[in-house]
Amino acid sequence: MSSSYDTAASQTDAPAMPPTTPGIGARADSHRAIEEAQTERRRAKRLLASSTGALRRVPRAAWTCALIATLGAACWSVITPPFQAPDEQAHFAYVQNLAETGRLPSSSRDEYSVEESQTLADLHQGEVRWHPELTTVSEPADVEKLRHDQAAGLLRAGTGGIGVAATEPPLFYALATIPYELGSSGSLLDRLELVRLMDALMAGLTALFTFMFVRESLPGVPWAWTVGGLAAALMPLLGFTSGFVTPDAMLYAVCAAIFYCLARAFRRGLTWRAAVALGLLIGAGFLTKLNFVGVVPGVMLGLVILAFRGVRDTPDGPRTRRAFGPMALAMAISVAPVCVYALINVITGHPTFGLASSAAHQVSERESLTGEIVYIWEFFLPRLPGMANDFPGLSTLHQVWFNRTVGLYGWLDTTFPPWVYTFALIPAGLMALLALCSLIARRGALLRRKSELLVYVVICVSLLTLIGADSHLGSASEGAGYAQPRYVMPLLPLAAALVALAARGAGRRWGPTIGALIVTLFLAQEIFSQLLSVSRFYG
Amino acid sequence: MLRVRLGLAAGLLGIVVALVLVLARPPLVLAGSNGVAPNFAITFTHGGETICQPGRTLPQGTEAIRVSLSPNIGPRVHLKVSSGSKVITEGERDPGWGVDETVIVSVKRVAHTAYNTRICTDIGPAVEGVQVNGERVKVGGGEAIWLRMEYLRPGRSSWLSLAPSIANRMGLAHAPAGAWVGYLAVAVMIAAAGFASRLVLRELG
Repeated sequence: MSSSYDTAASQTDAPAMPPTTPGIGARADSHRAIEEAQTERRRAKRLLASSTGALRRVPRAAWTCALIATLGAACWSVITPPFQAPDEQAHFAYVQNLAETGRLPSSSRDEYSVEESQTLADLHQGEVRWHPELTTVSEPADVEKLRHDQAAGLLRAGTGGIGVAATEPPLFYALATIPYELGSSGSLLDRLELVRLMDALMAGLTALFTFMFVRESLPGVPWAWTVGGLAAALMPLLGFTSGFVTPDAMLYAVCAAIFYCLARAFRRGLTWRAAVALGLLIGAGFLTKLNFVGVVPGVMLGLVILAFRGVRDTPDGPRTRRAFGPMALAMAISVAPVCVYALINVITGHPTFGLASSAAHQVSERESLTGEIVYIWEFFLPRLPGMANDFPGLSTLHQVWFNRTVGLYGWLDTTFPPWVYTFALIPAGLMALLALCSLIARRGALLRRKSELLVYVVICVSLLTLIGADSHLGSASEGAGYAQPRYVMPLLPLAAALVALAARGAGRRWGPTIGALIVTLFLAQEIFSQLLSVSRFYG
Repeated sequence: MLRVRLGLAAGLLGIVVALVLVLARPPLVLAGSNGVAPNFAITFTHGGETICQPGRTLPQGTEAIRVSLSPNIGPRVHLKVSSGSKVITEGERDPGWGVDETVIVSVKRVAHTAYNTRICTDIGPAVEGVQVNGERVKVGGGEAIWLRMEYLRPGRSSWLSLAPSIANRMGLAHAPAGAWVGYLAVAVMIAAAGFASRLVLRELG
């Protein structure tokens, strides 16, 4: 089909022969040039056709999940008041600094532009943050002052001090300058909302790739893909985090795409195309957020295992060749941006990894390794006998990670009444039980895919270790401030697969019905989480 | 197919019923306080201690007390309010709360206004230093720390009747501006719920 289309196109697109024939050599050159042009055109058309073909192969259900996630995040973007989400003022300052000066941040001091500083003051941002008893500004005088200052054309360029986001790599912020520039004729609040909407699109991508991951990893039961995809799309933590300015939103999308590519490569082999895709995604991850470092060991292990497994011509067919070349290519592409960044810094006399170098210096000043391992273990899991107690009187797994995943919004200051968290244990427990039953019932299939599972386990463990180690590092100054479920959201595709498994765990007869109930459960969580935020900020 | 339809219908019906129940209730509003100023970070506690102080007047209908403690991960907080030897009400908040400058502890509803109360705040073991916002007070020959307490009880208007004013507020200090933003958010979520339901019926049914 495509070849006949290409032939027809090449015939109609062929340029007319020149009216005069100066000589045989010149005519041959002319023919060669025409042939080369036609070949290039055919190649471009094939590439376009393969891209559009790939997009067409994405199931409609995946697009619908993407749409739902985007709508949810867009909703969150208008519900969450400006700068009432973790570090949004610093992330926006990074975008503004990059857009207005074309430079990367120069320090971690909170020296925002006059425009942003005035907006923060007008919004009473510091007073409302962490004070759930205070709502956003609504007094006419306050609103009038805000509107006046928004229209005053205050200085947009700062000194380069953008606060806690200064150590982050620039890719997300560079992308965010596009919506920022689109709204450059509007007020700061207009530009903020446009950047937030870009994040909402990232939520859509996350849901799309999560659906595709579930489809690749659990290919047997198509209806379960929808359950996993919708659970991810409706998860309020995804919508909330993708509803404000933060590189986390892009990190989730990049990680979901990596999970999808890995699952696909485990089924179909590490082809050159898959290697390029994985390399580009890993490179993008490096340039999106420092936390991505936590995902890298597992992904690199995946590349090595995939290289040994080799390429199969059919999904479950025999291996036809090893894939060390694609592995090397993927690794080279993935580290290239980091090397270029480091090289530029070295040449220009800056620290090798920019402001992140100072964080690396802090890492080297940690206390004993055993103490750190114990802390990281207890940060997520129940204390074992013989361990020191770093979290007295607290079950971190239940009272921090579970409860905060059920609902923690705004500047981490917006929570449900305590009974909601207790109630949430019931459906969560049932889902966990069903997923466990499903895993046990399919243990044979699991064993056959043990190398793939090992990769996912290493990704989980290394990311959690990074978060725990960061928390340990900052525990003296910030307490347990890193105990935020948004940091583990790069693992969303795995959670979605578990939800899909839970629905399958109910059996063929009841599985779809339980799946429908699970979807409504996530829908309820999304709706009530949004209402909670509305009541906290505008009630 | 029928079972999926019924499951979806049951789930959606559950959401609607829960919405009606929640929106028909009034929000908690401030009914009074113990009059202590919430001075920022007068000290830090690592828990395992009890602070007793005068509570002044505890209004009738009080269902929750807001206490001026501030951590990243809060410890267990138990409140006991007494008048003379009689315990008027008490309540407890499990550990893990935060990040806040205050913590709300639900208590058993106070049937009648109580005067000259005394409140004891038992703070469980803490993961990190808990910031105390309140006042240092000279008591006898020594010094005591008093926390600010605010007494909350249900207001008179339901959440539903407050919806127009909430929509108005959502349209202030925000871009895009206007009360329509709140209603648009509702419409968008209804649309999202519609898409999700349709997809469930198509793929699972």
